[in-house]
Amino acid sequence: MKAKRKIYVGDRVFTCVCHVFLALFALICLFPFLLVISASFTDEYTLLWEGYKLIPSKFSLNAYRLVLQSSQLVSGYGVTIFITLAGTAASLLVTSMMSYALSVRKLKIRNKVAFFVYFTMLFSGGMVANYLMITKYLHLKDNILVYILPALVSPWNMMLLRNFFATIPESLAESAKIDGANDMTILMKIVLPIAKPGLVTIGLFYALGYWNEWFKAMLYIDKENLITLQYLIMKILRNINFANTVAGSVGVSMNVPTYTSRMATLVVTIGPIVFLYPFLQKYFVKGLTVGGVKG
Amino acid sequence: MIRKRTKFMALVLSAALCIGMFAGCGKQNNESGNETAAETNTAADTAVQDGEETAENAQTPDPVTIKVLMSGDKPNDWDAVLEEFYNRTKDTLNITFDWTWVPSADYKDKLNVKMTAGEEYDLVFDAPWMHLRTLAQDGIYADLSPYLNNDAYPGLKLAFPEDVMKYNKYSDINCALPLFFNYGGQNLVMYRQDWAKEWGIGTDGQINSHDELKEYLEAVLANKPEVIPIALKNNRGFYHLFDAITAEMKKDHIYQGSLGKDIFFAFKLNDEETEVIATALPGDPAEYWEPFGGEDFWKKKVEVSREWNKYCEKDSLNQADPGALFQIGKAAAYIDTVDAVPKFNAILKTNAPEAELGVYIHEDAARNMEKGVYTATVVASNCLCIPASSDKIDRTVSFLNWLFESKENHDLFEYGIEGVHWEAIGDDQYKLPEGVSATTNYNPNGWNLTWNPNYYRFSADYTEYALAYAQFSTDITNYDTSSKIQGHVFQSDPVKTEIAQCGAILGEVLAPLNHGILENPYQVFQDTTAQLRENDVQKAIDEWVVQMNAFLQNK
Amino acid sequence: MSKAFGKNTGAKKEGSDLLYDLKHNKFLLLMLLPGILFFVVFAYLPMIGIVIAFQDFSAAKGILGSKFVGFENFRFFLGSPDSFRVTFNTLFLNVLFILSSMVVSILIALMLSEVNNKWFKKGTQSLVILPHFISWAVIGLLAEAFLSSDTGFINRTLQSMGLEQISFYKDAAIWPGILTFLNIWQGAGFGSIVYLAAITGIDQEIYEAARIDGSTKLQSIWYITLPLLRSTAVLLLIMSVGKIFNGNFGMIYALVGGNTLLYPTTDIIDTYVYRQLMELGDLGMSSAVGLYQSVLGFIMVNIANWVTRKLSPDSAIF
Repeated sequence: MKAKRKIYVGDRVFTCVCHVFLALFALICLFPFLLVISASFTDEYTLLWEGYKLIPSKFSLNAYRLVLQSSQLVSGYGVTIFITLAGTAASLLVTSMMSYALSVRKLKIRNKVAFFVYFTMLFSGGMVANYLMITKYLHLKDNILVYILPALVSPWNMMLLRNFFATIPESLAESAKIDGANDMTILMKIVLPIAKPGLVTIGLFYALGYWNEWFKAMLYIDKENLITLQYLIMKILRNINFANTVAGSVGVSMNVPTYTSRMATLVVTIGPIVFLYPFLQKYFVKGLTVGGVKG
Repeated sequence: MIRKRTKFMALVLSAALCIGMFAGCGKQNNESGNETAAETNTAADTAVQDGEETAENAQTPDPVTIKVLMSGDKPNDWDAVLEEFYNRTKDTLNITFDWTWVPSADYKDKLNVKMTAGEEYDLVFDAPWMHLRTLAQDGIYADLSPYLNNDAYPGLKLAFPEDVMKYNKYSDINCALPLFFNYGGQNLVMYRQDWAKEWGIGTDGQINSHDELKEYLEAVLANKPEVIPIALKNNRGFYHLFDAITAEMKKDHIYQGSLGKDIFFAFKLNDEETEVIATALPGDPAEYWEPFGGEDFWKKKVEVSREWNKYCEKDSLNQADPGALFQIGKAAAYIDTVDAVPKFNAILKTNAPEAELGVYIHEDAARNMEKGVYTATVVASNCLCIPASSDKIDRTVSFLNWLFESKENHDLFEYGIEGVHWEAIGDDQYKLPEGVSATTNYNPNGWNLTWNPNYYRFSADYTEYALAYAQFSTDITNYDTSSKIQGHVFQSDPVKTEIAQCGAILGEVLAPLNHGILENPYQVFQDTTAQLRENDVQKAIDEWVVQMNAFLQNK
Repeated sequence: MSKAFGKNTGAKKEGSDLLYDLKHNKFLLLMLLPGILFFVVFAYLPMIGIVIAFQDFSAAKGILGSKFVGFENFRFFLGSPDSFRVTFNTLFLNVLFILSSMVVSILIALMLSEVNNKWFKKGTQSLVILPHFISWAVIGLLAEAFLSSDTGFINRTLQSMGLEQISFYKDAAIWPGILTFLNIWQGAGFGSIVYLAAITGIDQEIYEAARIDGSTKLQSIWYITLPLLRSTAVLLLIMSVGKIFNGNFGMIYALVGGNTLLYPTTDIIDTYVYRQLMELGDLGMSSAVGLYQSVLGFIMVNIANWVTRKLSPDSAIF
């Protein structure tokens, strides 16, 4: 009886510590973010004079006006949303097939293939060779597929997903096999449902990768209506900085919101992806009960 | 049965994925095959003849599309400007553009991969600080000399005279059209003349010497404790404010040489200026400095910088945007060049209507507008090139000729449509029309397509005082063009490893020295130079001397 | 004789692995096919570009036509007096980053899984990933707002309390600490997602059973959760070991930039090379440094994997 109470008190203290730590850490994470949002709505002159404040003393929408003025914003969002959706789906499909196969112990070449994949994380041919491959041999220049195909499988994500698959007890698959299920059935009925948190995680990573894509837009895309949101925003930002630094260009005779626009671009680009996260959370919030899946 | 079907499904799935991966290729393969089939035509003779024909016959030539690769972002209203261009030249040039803009920060990489991949363009931007030297060396760019100094191309003849072109050769050919609008801008310090007036400094607030500037900075410390006396940029420090080697020293045949990567040194020529007789690095032991009069020119520079550090921000090494501090009145002075004046003048006026922008031209020869002191800078930092693989060289040249043929044509691309994007003031000034916002107005870079001293217009936002200096800098007759070292370009390739290594050593102390942050600055310089000597800096200097001597003797 | 025999069987075995799989695991091989094809086309074929590191590369002559110069391109970095220092800084900072953010990520994941209140759980979980989305450039600006000598939040606070100011931007010694803190702040919350997903995948019945046996929460964590997280942690560790010589350029560039006073502790291979080659723009030299980083990383990862296989074969990644 006494021992049990001790446990009870200890657990209470532990839970308390967890709450306090998490709350503090969350605050540290939130505070600078609020500063960014507030700064994006602050008048440039005020920001430079007074520094960052939670509540701007002079409110201004100039930064947003500048960032959102681009005529390509709609196509930028369109391209980014398309590659995020299509890319994540395609990546998840190919990656999970590969990860699953490599997680099955009876596959003898699995370690060699894993090495084959991991090797590409360390060594790459560099920009010139990739450019030649993609434009000269695959002719993917100015093609929306250039965002998706070269990013189809990320070795890092593949390895991680393989790890998720591997933690699923093999006994589950074996007992199913005894019941007469084949590889495909085992994958669909047992492995995938259990690996759902893993799949969601990897899906999230892929989605973020596609959402933040700018490098391929820079290198492989010349057509303006095919560039991604991130690259567009980057271009706008650079343009603003440039207008502010290069002298002698035609009549720059006003305050260009150099700093506040940086903050505004952050808000514009991460808004959607941050709002998406709470919808994925349900997969992380509740623990899974394997027993429930089997039936 | 079930097992078979699932296997079949997996097979189909895999096959579909594999096919999908290459779907893009096959289709486009054919298209690009046709494009690349176009033959190339680089024979200069025929090109010139073609050019003469178009000029004489005044017949509408066949329509042609010129592919352009240009650094910078697409300017606002660019399409409107192109539309105007098409309207004006439909019957004469009959050109349409396929214009690719690549943001300046990405241009260097993109140009390199595009040229490696052999993509075809008819006009590209390149620069000595990008790939111009190597690409010219490999014969990527067409020789434009048949079109230069040729009466069939009056615009080019006017804009790119022999005097300028002979200094802008790469691998001995004129494959690059230089873009610049002055022959060396003046360095200056911007300050608040209204404050200087209030504190009784200088003549009516006009600062004319370093002493007066110092007096002003002291007054800021005393009267405006919340204001930084002088704002420095992280990579510039005091910039040219305390220059070690001045333009006047050329009387003694002493000049400043540079290996690139911030490695600079003093060198002295013999009286006939045919040979380098001495070189010395800042911080070198006294024996190196003997031919120069015994005193290291940089000693004073770094020591004065140290002394003036008390007027700077504490973290000036982190300051990327000192101009902004000056614009909002948080800094009382700021160092830049004369072409930055209009922008600062306008912004300062918007932020504080009572503000009055003062300009202190800190080099004596520049302030007194002495003719013939400064050596004209005619080696352009930015250029236009035509790839030799283009089959439309003559048509591209005819566009360039049009562009530089008259002020009217040139103004269209540099300033936009008159009345819509700008209004002329006299012959060499312009202003924005009423109600036009600078942020949405036509905003090309200038340095990547149009800059030329003949056609430059000054912004109406110049202060009257600064305008005179700006105008001075666009007239080559104010400059010394007889200098023997003019046009020398150092080819760093043979010693690039040494330069990269020494640059790294120097790079660590140079900025703090220029900001005056380090104690005992000259000692630091001496230690660093000793390290450079250990790392074979002499090998790079020797190479430089060999190249310079060869250059001088070829004169 | 016996040696040769052993070799033979080794070679035979490798071939027979594939033969075995072809016979018995056709379905699995088929699933691997698209992925393998992907890596061949987009990773292995372009690897021919590695030769640029040994070339005096010229755009006109291309990868196949440029002149080979042996190890000349490596001389720039390996022969530089700074190469040891920047390699050490890269390694040191990465070790700090990898270990600290791993520990904090796991802590956050464990704590989140202990929280029962749904709203608190969802809320904190969303908040801790926020910094991951703030670019280093913006973090650099914010850091300045906190650390600057004249106007920084910290120094103003110190001043108002009558304490001596700290010149953060002149003191190289404190920067590994600052960078580690910022790295944790920026990435640990986001990094916890992986661990959280792994924890979520653990069968709840095990905890129930432990609870009935009278174990405390801490005991459950120690004896059940942590061992189950081990394979994930080891995997992430080995993968980061491969990149341990590749510094976080975006971070250092945004936070330190051109402040040479901080270079002694913060200058990493990537920023160093960027600075030295920005003007020269020599592709051969930069490829050479990249290859140097890859080869070192490759050696490290093989050692790490080998050690792991000895200790716990299941956690090795290949």
